[in-house]
Amino acid sequence: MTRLWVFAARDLRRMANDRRALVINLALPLLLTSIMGLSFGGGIFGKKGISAIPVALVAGELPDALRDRLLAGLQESGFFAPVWADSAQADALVRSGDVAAAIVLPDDALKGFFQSDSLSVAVWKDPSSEVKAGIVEEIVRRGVLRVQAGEAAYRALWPDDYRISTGDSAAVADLFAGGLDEIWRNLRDPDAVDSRKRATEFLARAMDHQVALSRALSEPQVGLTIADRIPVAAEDGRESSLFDYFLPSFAVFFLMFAVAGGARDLHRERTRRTLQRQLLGPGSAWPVVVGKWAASVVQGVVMLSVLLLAGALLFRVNLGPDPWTLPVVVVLTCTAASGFFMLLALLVRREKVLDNLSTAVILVSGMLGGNFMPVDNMPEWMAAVGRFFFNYWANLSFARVIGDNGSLTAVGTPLTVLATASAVLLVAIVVLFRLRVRRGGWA
Amino acid sequence: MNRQVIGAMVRLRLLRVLRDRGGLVWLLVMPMVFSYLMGNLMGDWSGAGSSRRHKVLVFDRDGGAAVDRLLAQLADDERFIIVSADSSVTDERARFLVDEGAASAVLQVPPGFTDAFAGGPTVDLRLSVDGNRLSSQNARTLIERSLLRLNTERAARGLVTAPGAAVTRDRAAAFDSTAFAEAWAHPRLRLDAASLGRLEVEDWGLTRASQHVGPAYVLFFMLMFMMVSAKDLVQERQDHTLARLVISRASALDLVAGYFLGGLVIGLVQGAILLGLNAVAFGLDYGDSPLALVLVMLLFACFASAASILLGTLARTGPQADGLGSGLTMTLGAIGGLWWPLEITPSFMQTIGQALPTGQAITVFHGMIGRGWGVERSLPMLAGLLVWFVVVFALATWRLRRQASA
Repeated sequence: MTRLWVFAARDLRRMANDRRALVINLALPLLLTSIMGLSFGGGIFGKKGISAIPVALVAGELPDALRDRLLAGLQESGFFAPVWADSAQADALVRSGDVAAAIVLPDDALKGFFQSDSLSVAVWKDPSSEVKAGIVEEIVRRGVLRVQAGEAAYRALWPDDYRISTGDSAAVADLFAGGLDEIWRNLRDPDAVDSRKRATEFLARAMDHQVALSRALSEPQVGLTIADRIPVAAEDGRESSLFDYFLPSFAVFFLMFAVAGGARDLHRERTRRTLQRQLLGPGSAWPVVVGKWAASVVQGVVMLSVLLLAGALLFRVNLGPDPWTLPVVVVLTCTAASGFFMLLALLVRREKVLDNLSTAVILVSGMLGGNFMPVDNMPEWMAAVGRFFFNYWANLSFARVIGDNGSLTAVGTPLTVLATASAVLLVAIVVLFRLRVRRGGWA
Repeated sequence: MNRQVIGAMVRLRLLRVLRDRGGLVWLLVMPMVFSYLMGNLMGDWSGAGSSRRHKVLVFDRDGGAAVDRLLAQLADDERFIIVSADSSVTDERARFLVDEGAASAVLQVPPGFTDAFAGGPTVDLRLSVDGNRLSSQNARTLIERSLLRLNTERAARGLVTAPGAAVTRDRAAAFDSTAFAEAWAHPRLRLDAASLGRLEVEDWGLTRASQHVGPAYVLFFMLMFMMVSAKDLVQERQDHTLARLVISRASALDLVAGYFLGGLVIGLVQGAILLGLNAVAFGLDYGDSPLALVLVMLLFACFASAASILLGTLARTGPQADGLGSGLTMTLGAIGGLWWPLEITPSFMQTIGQALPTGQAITVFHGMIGRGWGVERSLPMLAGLLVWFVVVFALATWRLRRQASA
């Protein structure tokens, strides 16, 4: 055992003295995760995520009072930065990308609501702003669906209101002729003209129906309780964000580069003949390779700890429900990662081959194991393949602990997989290394 | 300027690249693998392109006809599989099933659900979801829509006057189910969503993530290859090859031109092949202006080649150039919007991103693809790229001339 720690300590000293490795393994991941934090995380740097979506509103001849209410409502929601525009301006604004989308209400929307057989609300989207334009479309779609549901019920109950007679139709058209002031005068003094009286009676009837239906719809017979994942934010006042997923997943991604560097060291020592010198000493060969593995694990633990602590300090990333769950995940992730890349190093004959192969493996497993995208959003075949990579289970564990504030019991399955993989890989490394040494290829 | 020396340097660089099989993998194969996998991962920004069928677990303790109606829309949707269980489940267990990824959503239907629509007491459904998952959100939308229909129909039927009673102003004589179904299927109020781009169809443009991922990874790997190859220049400095060239026939300016043109040719060839492969393999579209496309690729390749020389003159060792090159490329890629679209970041990050060469190049691609930008409308971004190139090239020239003459 003493030899093992001697070898491990020697490698650790060398890693600590290698300023380039420190920059690449610590400073660069820290820089990149900070960029991600600034993009998604908020934290001490203020507001996070998507800024208010610029939207153009086209509302034809909507009365000013309604226009103001609509504008104020959209502004207060905090999601939108609305501006009024006419149809041509809105078209130009969307095409130039100055707004993400335009919401276009039909001309004579108020009149059309009572008279028209078909009405359409349009959402014009900027094709270069699919995410923001998609959000606008979804919100408008939800609003339109509510109106559609109400109309379907109304039609089924009072179909005559929709089969409007010619006389009623002409009367309503007459009532709505002119500007808002004129409409208001007509409504205030309906008895002055017969057609106005007829129209206001028709409208009053329709209004009675509408109010009765609105009341009935306001108390649904079956409610729907949505039990969304309880964000850690709800418990400690912190806002959760995509960064909660991407900080650990990118930390694992950079960890793979760091431990692959440690595994490359095996080949470098072989080329420089220092490995052979170590093997000439008394005792068995395994402490040499296990010492390298242990050094790589320690390096990984330090790296992940620094990144996670920086995330917690700068972007208020959650570090789990207790002081031990996250450290266990970190250690098992590092043992599995070091084992995997050490095994890869023993399987190939030259450093350059390992260099190219490990980078390719890191990038591909990073994609399939969920380092760039939450696993649930992957196509089925990709998620199935991803389970064969240790980083999939590491990402899952971090997501449970950081994202859901899960304790050890919540990450039992992924931790078991990581622990089993670590043990199997360590045994495989020792066996393969002894075989290589015995056959003379490495000594 | 010694054209022979410059030509020889360019040829030598090309030969080196062609002979290095590992390098070719990074030059052409990995960018395509990335385009394919990341395009698949991101699928369709709206989620419609994902081929994965997501499971929705339904714990049905009612077993009535209303449950079938509630789930009809979900059952018709190709993205979902409904797995029904007659047993009950605790709220904690339902939460656990979603958190563990066993299902995208878990719906608990209590006894009396169907009766509630026939005048029975009100009940509550419970839907456990994960708001961070697209599949969960989509399942929720479909269930909410179906429930809205059932609730609306039930509420409307409640307004029908009892047989024989007088129909008051706030009541109806009957409920016409056919009219309800017809109005639900063909509503009077419609939503017309359209993209105002070059081609006004929905299944086009940046709705497919590959339209962003393809060009983004072409630019990323062009820059990555150039930056990583800066170590060759460091090696030549260390081997004193530069000094030997200067002593023979080459001036310092020839060296600059040779290195720069070599990088430029490789970058352009790599970019052209990758854009072509992306167009053929993934059906990518680069807009209507070949000139704008050529200009953005040319200016970006010029910048990448100049940046490679500058890095090669600044780094002390090959590994240092390697590490710094990878780091700079990743940083420029992340901030410039090559890893994720700039529009999902806060506005100050968008401003920073668009000031970088990566951000300027990908913005031109987005403009060409989405808005049909030509040279004129791309001009501000192209000018930005030109400025970056000129500044970096001037610094690289100054450094390399100093080192060559020293």
